[in-house]
Amino acid sequence: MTRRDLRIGAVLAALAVGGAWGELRAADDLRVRAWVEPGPTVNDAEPFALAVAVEGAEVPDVSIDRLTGLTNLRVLSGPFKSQSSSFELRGTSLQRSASVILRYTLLAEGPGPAEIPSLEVRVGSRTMRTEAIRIQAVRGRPGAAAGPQRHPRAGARDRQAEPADVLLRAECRPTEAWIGQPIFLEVVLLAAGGDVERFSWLDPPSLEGFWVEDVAVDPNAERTRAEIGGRPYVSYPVMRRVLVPTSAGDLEVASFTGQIQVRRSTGDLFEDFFLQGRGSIAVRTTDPIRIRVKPLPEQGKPEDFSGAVGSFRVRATLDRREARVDDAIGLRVSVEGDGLLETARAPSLDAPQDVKVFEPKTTGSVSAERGRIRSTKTWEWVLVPLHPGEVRMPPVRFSYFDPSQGAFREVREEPGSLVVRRGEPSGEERGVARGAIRAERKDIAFIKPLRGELSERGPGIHRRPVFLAFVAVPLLALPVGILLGRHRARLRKDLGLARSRRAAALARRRLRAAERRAARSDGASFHEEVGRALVEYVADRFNRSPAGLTYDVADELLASRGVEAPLRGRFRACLETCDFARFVPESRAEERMADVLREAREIVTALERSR
Amino acid sequence: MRLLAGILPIALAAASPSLAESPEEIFSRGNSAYEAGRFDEAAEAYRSVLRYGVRDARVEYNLGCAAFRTGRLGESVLHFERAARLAPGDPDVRTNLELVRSRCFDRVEEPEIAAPVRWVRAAQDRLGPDRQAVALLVLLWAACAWIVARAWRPEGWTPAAAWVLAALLAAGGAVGASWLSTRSRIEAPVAVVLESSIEVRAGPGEHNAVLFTAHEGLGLSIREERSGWLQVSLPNGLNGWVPASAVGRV
Repeated sequence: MTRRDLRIGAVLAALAVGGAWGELRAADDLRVRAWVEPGPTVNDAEPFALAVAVEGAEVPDVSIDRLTGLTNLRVLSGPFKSQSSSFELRGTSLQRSASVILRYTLLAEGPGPAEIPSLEVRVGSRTMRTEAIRIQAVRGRPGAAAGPQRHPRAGARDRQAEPADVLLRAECRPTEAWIGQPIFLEVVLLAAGGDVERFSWLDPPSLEGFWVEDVAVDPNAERTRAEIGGRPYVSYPVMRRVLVPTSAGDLEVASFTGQIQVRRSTGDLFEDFFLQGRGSIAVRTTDPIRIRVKPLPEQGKPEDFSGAVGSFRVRATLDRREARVDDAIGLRVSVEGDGLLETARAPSLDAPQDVKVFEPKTTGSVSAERGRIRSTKTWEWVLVPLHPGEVRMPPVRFSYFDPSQGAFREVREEPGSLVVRRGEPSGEERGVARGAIRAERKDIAFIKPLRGELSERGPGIHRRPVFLAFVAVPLLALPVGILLGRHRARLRKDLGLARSRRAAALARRRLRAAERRAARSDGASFHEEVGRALVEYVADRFNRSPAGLTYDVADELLASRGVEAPLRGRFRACLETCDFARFVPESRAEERMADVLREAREIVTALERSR
Repeated sequence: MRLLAGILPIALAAASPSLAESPEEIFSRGNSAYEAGRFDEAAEAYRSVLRYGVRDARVEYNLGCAAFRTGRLGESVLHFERAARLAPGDPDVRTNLELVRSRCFDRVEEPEIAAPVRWVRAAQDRLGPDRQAVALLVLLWAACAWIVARAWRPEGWTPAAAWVLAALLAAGGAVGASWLSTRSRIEAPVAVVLESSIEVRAGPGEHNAVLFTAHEGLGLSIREERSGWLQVSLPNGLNGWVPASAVGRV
């Protein structure tokens, strides 16, 4: 290690120590504190704000895992994080300060002391703690007197705002009912002195002991005006439900709690335009409602009581008036009216003996309007007449309990009669003589016996490869056949062309004949045949008569088709050899004939190539 | 090794419908059960035959009969429909299908079909797609052979020869169009409701509104499939989505 290396190491160490010291100092600068707004006394009807602030020259990431250990308080929302930073000139140096604030919205659960314990705040890698805060909660008075608090995040500009007046009221009609009788529950929000910007439920109750049907509600479209204590309110229906008690006794519709955000005009045109007025949040709770539920009387209860409570009527219709034996006929029975039919049993149907009845299919619907629940339930039976004749359907009966009269009722409807004919058209209809044999009823045809093996392929010959091959073959062969046919016709029409095409074949045939003569040592005949093969080849090829084809004429014809001079020379030499050998006995040696034959074949082949 | 040799056949027998019997034997056993009035047993035998991969109209037809006897209208319609596709010209299949449909709850108004179209369809069904395919093949070969023959003949195309070719091509075109039409009709994707009733919804999912209720045995044309749901339509224009598990595909 050199002296220079030691110097660099010392500088780096000094920088590292300096950085760590700066970090430590920055961490030492951090402060954390918590407070509630507007003050340590709150009421249990209005939410208030809890703020946790971390301040210092540099504030790293701030977080709180969870607000736990709250006494008599619950968290409505949060945390909402805000950050700010500023610079201040002190002497000659510019100093920076920053803060991060986490805000929660809390609500006291009831009057009495409440406490926010010391909170663990994670600031970067450090954990800091706030002081515990003690709060006194008083009973809130929903409405103008207690007044909704300012919006916890609204800031100082809301401090002088007059509180808006909001109420939440629940009503049940009726409060005394029979088991199964629908009860209409409506919750209304009343607001005065501001516009309701947002409404949300806080922990809605479960409504045990009731079968509940929600009813659609549109608060803005259905809002009305109301006057309470001489003060005008805008009334928003925020919930409608139909409650059907399922057991007797005293039942309670528990309190509903809602959080309402109200914005009101300040009268300042600038503030209203740019800041949309002033906002506040209120929490309101309805009073619980007690409902007395009476059991249905046993006296006068019909045996076929359907279980429905309300007021209903029944309609029964057959889908046709005429049918044949074994036809399927639809009987549709609809029950509709005020009340719930979800659990109602099917109406009583006393079908005649000669009609087979299948299990009904059931459909139904429920709707609620104007404080009433309306139900429709339809049963569809399939009837199959078994014998011809007139079938008179007895009335369909539906019994229910009428809560307005406190008595059981029964409604009935006759579906009418049905004329059933035999399975086959009657003799008159078919125009045959009376007494003709007719089928008494229709039935399916009998099963098929096994003859031969079972098929695993089924139809669909077009899916098999052989079918595609049978389609492809004629289509592919068609152009070939057409071309061959045309070629043949052309040869038939053009004799010169035909001779020319046949020339080589004929010449080779004659050379084979010459070869046979050579085998018989018939030299004169051999050379005559070879010479004839060559001459007639040229005559056929040029569509000329072989009679007047001299050496010179043959040479000219070959030259006219571009046959080169050496080949022409070989052709002429071969011809001269043959002519000479026919008359000169010394040249009839066998080996000589084989050379001549080979030469003649090569010449024909070479001439064919030069076409 | 002996133990393995003993276990293997048992395992194979459990995995396949019945290794001991051939499809034909099981089919005959089903027929015997049907004739003895044991319709459930017969239906199970026919189903076993189908598990072999057999595509025979007789099996589908007999299974349709057995399902009808045991009160399963939807399954009966499904198998008669399949039998009608495998043997379009079989009058028993048509008769049974018509009768079983008359016992189903739903009645769908079908658009009126002109008499000539009905006649053509009846003729197409009697012939079936395979016979039409063979006829098309014969006409194709005849037309190609005629063209080649005229190319080889020295006199070429005379007016009479051209008329013969035109007739062959016209006949081939008609048979080909009929074949394609029969195929598209027979191979159209169709489903049959198997449950006593199903709710046909506006979209593929239980959260969608119920448009109408379809009952057992109703035939539905399949238009689309999406994540276990089928978009189906009826001849009267109604359409919606049903769970694929509630219907059987023809």
